[in-house]
Amino acid sequence: MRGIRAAAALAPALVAALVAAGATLAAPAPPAPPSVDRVLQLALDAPRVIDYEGTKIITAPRNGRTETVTAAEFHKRPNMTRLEYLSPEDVAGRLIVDDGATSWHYEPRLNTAFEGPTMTTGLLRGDLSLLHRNYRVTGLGTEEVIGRQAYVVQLAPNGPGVSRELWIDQATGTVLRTEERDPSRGVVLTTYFSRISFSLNLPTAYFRFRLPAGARVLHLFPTVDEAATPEALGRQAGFTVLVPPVLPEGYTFSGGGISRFGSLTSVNLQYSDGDSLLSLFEAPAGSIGAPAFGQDVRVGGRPARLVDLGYFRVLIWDQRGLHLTAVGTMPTETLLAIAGQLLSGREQALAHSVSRQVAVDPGVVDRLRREGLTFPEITRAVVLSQRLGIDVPTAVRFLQGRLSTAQLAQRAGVTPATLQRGVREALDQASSVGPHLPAH
Amino acid sequence: MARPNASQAVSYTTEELARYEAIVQRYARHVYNVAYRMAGNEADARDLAQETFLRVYRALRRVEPDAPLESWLYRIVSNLYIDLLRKRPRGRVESLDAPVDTPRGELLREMPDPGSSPEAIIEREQLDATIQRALGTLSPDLRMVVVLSDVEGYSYEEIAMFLRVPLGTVKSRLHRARQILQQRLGRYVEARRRGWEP
Amino acid sequence: MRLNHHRASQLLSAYLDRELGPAETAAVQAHLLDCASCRAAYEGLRTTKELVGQLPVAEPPAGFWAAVRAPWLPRRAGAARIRGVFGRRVAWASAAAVLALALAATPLVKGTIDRLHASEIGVDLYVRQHAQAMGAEPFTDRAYLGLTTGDADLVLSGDAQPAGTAPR
Repeated sequence: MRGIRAAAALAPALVAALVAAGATLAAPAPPAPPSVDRVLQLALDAPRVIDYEGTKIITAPRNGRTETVTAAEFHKRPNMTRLEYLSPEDVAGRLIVDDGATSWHYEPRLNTAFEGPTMTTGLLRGDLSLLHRNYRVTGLGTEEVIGRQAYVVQLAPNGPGVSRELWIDQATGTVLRTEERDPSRGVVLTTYFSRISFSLNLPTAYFRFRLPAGARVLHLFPTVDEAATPEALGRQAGFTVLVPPVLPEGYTFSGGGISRFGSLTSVNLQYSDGDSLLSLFEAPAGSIGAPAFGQDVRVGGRPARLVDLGYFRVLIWDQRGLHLTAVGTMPTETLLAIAGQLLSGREQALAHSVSRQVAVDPGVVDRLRREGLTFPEITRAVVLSQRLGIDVPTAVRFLQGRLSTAQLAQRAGVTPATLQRGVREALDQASSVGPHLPAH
Repeated sequence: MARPNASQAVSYTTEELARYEAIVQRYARHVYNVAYRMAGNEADARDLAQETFLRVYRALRRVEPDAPLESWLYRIVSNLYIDLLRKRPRGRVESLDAPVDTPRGELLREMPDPGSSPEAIIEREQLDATIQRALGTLSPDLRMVVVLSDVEGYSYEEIAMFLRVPLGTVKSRLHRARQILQQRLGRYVEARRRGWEP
Repeated sequence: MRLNHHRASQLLSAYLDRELGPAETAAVQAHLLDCASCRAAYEGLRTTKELVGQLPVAEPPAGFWAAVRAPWLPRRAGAARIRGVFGRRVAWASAAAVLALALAATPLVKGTIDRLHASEIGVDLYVRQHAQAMGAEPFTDRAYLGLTTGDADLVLSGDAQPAGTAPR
């Protein structure tokens, strides 16, 4: 609720800015292009500023091959979405209506509606500080997309993972085209509008789902108990939650929950780097088995199963009475390395080694692990706190992108430039402490 | 659902088979050429082209007689090739035919008429291998646009239709691709330019 | 129409291919007369295009024509290498046939998944949740998320095959 009001307050200012930008663009001498950060911010703010409807073409791996899917996409400020899928045949007629709180998916062929949580949280909560920290953001100039001028921005992760190019409409900030590129596979996902028209007011009725007569309704709300830490999740679920010792640089704990589907109770840990997400699901072994499809792989000499969905990769293995499933877009080797570190079961040894190497109380390391931090993150937070004379929780908040450089500089009483130097030195120092994922 | 033998199960009339043969005659050489320039080696090119025609064969009844099929065929080749890249470890796709090593620049200063002497033929083959290798360093997106434009000679509009991308994207990809190729082939480009403009 | 240097240099390839309108063509021509660096760039692009254009038409290997003309025959030498890529689908598809039967026996009951065939659809359940969570990342494409979660919904309701198996 608070988010919506803040966004509404922002909107008039942005509209004014857009109008001003439009006026300058029409002037004879073209102005210097805005900074790439400004362009990304424009894209982030766009959904709160303008409504649109258009035809979107998605090319992505689906059903074991590359498929092209067409959908009519409607957006209403700030976070309402309507999607009508047109082709291929097996999705034609599918309707998704998301009013920002609830997402309805209706399948006419089955006369069935699925009700679940909204998938638009990013539209309001969107924040770029973590992304800026973990991605090289490059402006690639401008290109024409469907007759509109668009800024081309590339987001390349510092670590291994998917990079993305965005074509951002100069006039409205709307993302007209995206391309996601996997280092080992080339382009894995392309989406673009083949047609779009902007509006300041699409009817709200478009974004309200009306249940057709006689439709069956399935509720897919997982009973999610949001909890701030893996430790708290473990208490609710009744088992000790495993926390990955090391993840690719930049991934940080961004939330978790418990979901209950029927008799299956799983804990879900999410790690984000500001643009990509890694989900780790943990459930008691035996409540769920390995699927019959996918391929057998070995992690640390133990059997595991990899299901490669082209865009998503899913790795499944059993460990200490738990069934673990990792889902992400990162390269297979990275996923295997993450699982390998978890499976090595060196929690105590690593905790001991980190606490010794950065001279910090073992209790601090334990506490941060229970909050979901990886060992490299703990090392960085501790070294940073020692360097800058700030407390560890503040350093953690900074590293997780919840505190900006300017805010931290103010707290530490130094200039942002001095701070930045200190941060770089601290991170360099921390990088010599293990454990690491193998480099590619 | 499982269709390992689906093609066997289809029984086509003589007319339909004749239609299939006509499609093969008209398109197979081009499809193979595009596949070869994309994959950079004979084995993958053959498999990509054969797989493409297997799909044509299976879908024969849905193919309108005399409809132009380029768009569909190149899209299949492109998708199959991307499948191939996706499902194979990095680096293994491009290198099955080891390209001939780069010849020394001096050899190319005077560009002889290809096809005359045996030396000239060898040089031409080496140059082709080098160009093919340069193509292989482009991302599949850029490569496909160059192959369709400069090898097969399609217009921007046709390429945009084949690949289902905006015209502006074809334009910018082709420009980017040529810039990269020019860099990779710098020595040859320079030699040839000097040959013509002393 | 006048073009600045940057814009003109971006249009050189399209100019070379005669893919510009008359006004742009004239403007690029005018710029080329004035700008030595664009002339050099244009020559480079032209030579590159010519080099690529002179690649011979690749000659298909022996056996290619026979295989294309009779696609119903099993493939021979060389095909085994690629079968691992395209043929995996076949193996999955037959697995999928079995799975679809198993799932049909365990549909959703009264709107809750309480007899879910956990070993098989766990993946879809988790992929769905992961996709949903991706909605929190700023630049995720929602039409793609809708597609993924929609597909997973169908599996969870017992109406489609698990995501890791491939039909067709």
